Amino acid sequence: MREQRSGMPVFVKVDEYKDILDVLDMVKAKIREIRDTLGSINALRNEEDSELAMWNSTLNEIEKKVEGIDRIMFEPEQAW
Amino acid sequence: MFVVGFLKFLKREKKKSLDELDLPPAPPPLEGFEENLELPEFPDFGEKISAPEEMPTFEFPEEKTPSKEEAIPEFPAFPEMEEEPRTFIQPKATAIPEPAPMLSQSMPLPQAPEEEQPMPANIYPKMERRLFAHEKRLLRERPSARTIYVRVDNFKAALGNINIVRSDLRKSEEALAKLENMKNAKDKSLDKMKSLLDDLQKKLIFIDKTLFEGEQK
Repeated sequence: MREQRSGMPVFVKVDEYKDILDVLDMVKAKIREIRDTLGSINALRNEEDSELAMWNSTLNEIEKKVEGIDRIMFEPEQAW
Repeated sequence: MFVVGFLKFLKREKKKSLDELDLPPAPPPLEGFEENLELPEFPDFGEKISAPEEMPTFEFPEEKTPSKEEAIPEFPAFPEMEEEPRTFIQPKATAIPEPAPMLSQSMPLPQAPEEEQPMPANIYPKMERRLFAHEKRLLRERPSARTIYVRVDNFKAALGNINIVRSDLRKSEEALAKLENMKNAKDKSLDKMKSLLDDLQKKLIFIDKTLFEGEQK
């Protein structure tokens, strides 16, 4: 590549210009597709988060019940 | 038992093997088929039998091909029909009520065009300009059909952008690998959680059963 002289615009010859444009179009389409996939992954993650939160609350409830049973079983006289 | 013993003489004696079986008598000799019998000579009829020199010709009536005149018989001419004058039935004139005037009478009626005006050559100049603007721009950008030139600074910027995109892609690939690892770890922990829950359920069922049996007793 030649160096740019004082103020004079220097051009580079580009072969297969049309092919480059086509490839750029394809790249744009791919980026759009990736963005859609990322959106669907985000939606799935949100669903997963809500499921995990529900699971956590259920587990807390189970823990409480088990603790209650444990208390009843280890203090029978008080309970009965 | 006595009767059966009495009828014993009717039974055939069983032979022990095939060799002991009686051979059937030989067939009587046929007359005229003695061995080494010589055939009599063929008599000489004097003349030799051969194919005739000229084959006879046979005439079959169905093979005859009729000539064109014979094949197509003349059809009789159509009889001339007497011409009757055609009578047209005139539709009866019915009194159709005139529609109420919708528009004001002052409004002039549209008149039919006296002459067909010729179509202008370019009806949609604006639309055409809009549709082919992209093509025109491309043509403007491309000085010639074959050789394309890009300014060096633009070219350098494009190269820099390509390098940035390449590094970003590498980062994305690394992030994807990390996500995949995380997903595998998550799957493992989910499996572990599932087995723990199953174990917990079994234990709770055992406790429930034991308590229920104790209550029954």
